[in-house]
Order: sequence, then C-alpha cells, then structure tokens
Amino acid sequence: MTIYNHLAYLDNASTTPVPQYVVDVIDHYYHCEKVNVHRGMYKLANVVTQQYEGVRQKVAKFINADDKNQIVFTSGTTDSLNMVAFGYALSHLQPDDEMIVSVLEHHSNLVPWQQVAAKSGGRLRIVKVDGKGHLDQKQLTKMINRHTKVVSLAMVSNVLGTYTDMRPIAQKAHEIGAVLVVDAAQAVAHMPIDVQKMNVDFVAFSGHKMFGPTGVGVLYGKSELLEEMNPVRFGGEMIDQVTSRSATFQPAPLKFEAGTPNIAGVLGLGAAIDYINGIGYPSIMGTDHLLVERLMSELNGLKFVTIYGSPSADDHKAVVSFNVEGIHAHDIATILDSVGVAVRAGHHCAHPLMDFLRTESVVRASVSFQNTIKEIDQLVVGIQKAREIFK
Amino acid sequence: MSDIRQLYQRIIIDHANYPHHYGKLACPDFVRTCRNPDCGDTITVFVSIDTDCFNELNFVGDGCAISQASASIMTDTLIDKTVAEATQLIQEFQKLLLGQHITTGDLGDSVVFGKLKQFPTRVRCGALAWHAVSDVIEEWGKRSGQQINFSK
Repeated sequence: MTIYNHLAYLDNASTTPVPQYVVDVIDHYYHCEKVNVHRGMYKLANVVTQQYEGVRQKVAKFINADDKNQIVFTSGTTDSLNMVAFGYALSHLQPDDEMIVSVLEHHSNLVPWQQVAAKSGGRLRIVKVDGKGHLDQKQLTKMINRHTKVVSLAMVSNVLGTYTDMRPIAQKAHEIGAVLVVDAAQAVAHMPIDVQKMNVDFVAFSGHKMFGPTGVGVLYGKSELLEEMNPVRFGGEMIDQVTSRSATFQPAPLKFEAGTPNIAGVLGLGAAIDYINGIGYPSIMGTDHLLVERLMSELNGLKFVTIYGSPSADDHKAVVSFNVEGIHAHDIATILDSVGVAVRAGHHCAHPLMDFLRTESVVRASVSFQNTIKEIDQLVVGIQKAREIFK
Repeated sequence: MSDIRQLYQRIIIDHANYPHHYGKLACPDFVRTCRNPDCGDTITVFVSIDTDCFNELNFVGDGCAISQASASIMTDTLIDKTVAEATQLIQEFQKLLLGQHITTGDLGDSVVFGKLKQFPTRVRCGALAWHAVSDVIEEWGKRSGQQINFSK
C-alpha cells in the first residue's frame, strides 16, 4: 500500500500511519459524542465513559493483563516511563541503590533514570550489547545484585531492531527483589506482548507507533506495584475526597489520570488495537520479515554499505540502520527523499548507542506490514543515486 | 520535487570531500563550537583576528556534506575581511538562507547555498558554521568594548 502521496514511507519506527478506521472513530467522537468521561449525569456521558473504559479492557486483553485496572492511559511511552521513574523508583531508591538500563535505550528510557539517580543518590548502570546488538546477558547477570532496584530495558531496539527476551531477565530481577520495566514502544506494532508470560512489572508503549493517534499511550503495572506507586500529577478526576488542606486519591488506574484525559486518543487507540487484531500478528510478522529480508539482502550486496547490529534479517524486528561509505546519513536521507523514500537519519534519540557504534548518526529504514517490496527497492535506487552524486 | 542536484552541486561535493582551511589553529584568538542537537552536526571554528581583520579562520567538524561544505566555503569567503565586513556578510548569508534578496556580491561561492531554501530541513546545516563565526564576532565585540548582536 502506498500512502502519503506515493511516498515510500520507511520511517515507521518514528510513527506509523493511521488507517481510515482509526480516523473514523476519532472523527465520530469529535463530531457526535464530544463529552467528558467519568462525570456527566446525562446518558451520552455514560456512553462515552463506557467506550473509554471499554478500551482499557481491550488494552488489557491485547497485552494479556489479568485486570483492566492494571492499564493506565498516558500521553505516550515517555510519559509512562517518567511515571514509573518519579512515581515508583524515586520513592523506592536509597542512596547506593542501583538501576540498570542498556546502551540500546532511547533517551526516554535513559534520561528519566539519570534524573532519579541524581535526586536519590542512587547509581545508574549501563549494560552493553554484543557485536550483533544483543544485550550482553552475562554482563547483565553480573550487574544485577542486592542493590538493584530497577531494571529498565527496551523490548526492541529502535536503532538496531534487536529483540530482548524479557523472561529470564524478569526472573533474575525478581530473585533479588528488583522490578523489571519494559519499553515496548518499538515492539508493539510488530509482535504480540504478553505481560503475564513475560512476568514483567511495568510495560510502556505509545499509540502512535501502533497505527493509532499521537498523544496517547499505555502504562501497564502489576496491581500491587500500581498501588504503591505515587501519582506525579494532581488535580481533578484522580481524587477521592478533597478538603481545603488535603486530598485522598482514587485507586489505580484513575489516580494516575489527573485532568480530562485524551478521550479521542484513547478511543483511537482502541480502534488501532481492533485494526492490528484484524490483520493478526502472524501476518504482520510474516510481512515485516519479508521486507527486512529483502532490505538486508539488497544492502548486503552493496559493499559500500555498513549495516549496524546483526547481519541476520531474523535479528532485525522491522528496523535496519546503516551508513553509506563517505556519505553522511543526512545527505543519504535527503537524496532518498528526492526519489520519494522517507527514512530517518540521525542519532535516533540514542546518543550512548551512537558512541558505542562509533558513529554520530545512522540512516534508519523501518518498515510496517503496509510497506511493499517495491518500496524497499526504491530505497536501493536512492542509495545508488547518492553514490552517483557523491562520486 | 526539487532537483536534488541543485542542492548537491559539484562545488558543494568538492568542498565536503576536500575542505579548505580544515584543522585546528595552533594559537587562535577565538575558538567556538556549534552543534545542531537534532542531528549531531558539529563545527568548531578557530579564528585569529589581528586588529579588526580575520587573519586566520580554520574549522574542524563532523556532519553532513552541507554543513561541512558551508564551513569550508565560508572560510574562503571571510578570510582577510574586516570584522565589519564579515558581520555584513553573515547577515547577507542569513538573508540568502531565508530566500530574501541580497545586495552584496561579496558572498563569493557561498551564494550556492541560496538553493537551500528549497530544502527547509537542511537550512540549519548550512547555517551552522556561520553561527559559530557570528558568536566569535559577538565575543570579539565584548572584548573590544563594542556591542555586536546577530539576530539568530
């Protein structure tokens, strides 16, 4: 499927397109039902509240959470991770306690923990990846110790596309009483997420990277952890009783959803889940793989192209980053644009990983099941054109 | 769609591949690094100003062909100019990037970046080195008791 006026859109890791069905759901809310949730006495308010809470149930089922109250609506992955950092970790960390992230992390799963470390006197430790971009499990095992309180890792790297199996890490973290936080932003459009099977403690993801609208996301947390976690925003809707001097709060998840929520966004997120379920993950994963395989085999055939991470297509979950010898990533991206191919070039909000890869920037092509082989081939045409221009 | 070769003209590719006045100066009067946080492009300029003349102007940097070629061509344009002339040229270059009419012909090969306005996502790449030199001129002004401010 070509979208956006025949642009071969290969920047799905930034944000995915939104199908008409999702737009229609949002449009219907704004045109016909634009009332608030949780407070109106009129029937329509109740109808929309039911729809809104229905999406919570739908999200719970989508990620196999056993209770819809484990689902907090946020503005996105960044918001979700900040909530865990400042609402949970900050109150659980003593000086000398430790948190662990990996060198792969997007800044949204790094900078909040840096801030928590600075405020608590705790220590942030960084686990490396191996030559193929896989998390160094040996180093991680050594790093987890009785001081570790939080381990926070990306399920899929937004630069290398590598997938990390969270199950053994969850087990190690739980053995010493730490929590495992999963940044699933890059995973959710490409593989099923099962929070019970992974047995992880918190999971964060965004609607806009899974064919939904911007400005909405999810934080999953185990019930007892959400109960312990403090709200970081205060105001209407999240309170139980208020006097002029003090307030008590609603139970989770409402205590985390202060103010009028992004109702249209939540309804759009629900529609995006319907859309993904309609296609089905087996089909999505099959198409993703075909596209990545074609891209990798084409790029591997160009001796002036360096692919970052694993040489195997199996290890790239919809994301392939590369550089072309002698041509800066931004110049490649601009020239690809001139042949109708949209990719991202830069540091991808992952400075530590760029340092690790010993580069300033990379070109990133990221697919969704909506892309075609022809679009991949167009990218290769663009790379050849860049070589021609820079000859 | 704009023709991409209007952006990547031969002169830009040549300067990017073989930059002029590249490398640190041993004893510069001024050193200034500018970085584009969005893309990571970096330019450091090394400047020696004798009385009020740009005696020496070198740069080092990392980044795209546009940012590096712009820095290289800029050094050709500004060396041997007075601070007042350089100030005017920087303002002319800013206008050029905005697509405004420019009055002086002294910008030399830097006029090639007039095409950048057709590629708005790349304007900042072309401007980076010039920002660094405008910062140097502001600093020179402070040291010599003159108020010089560029609109940025």
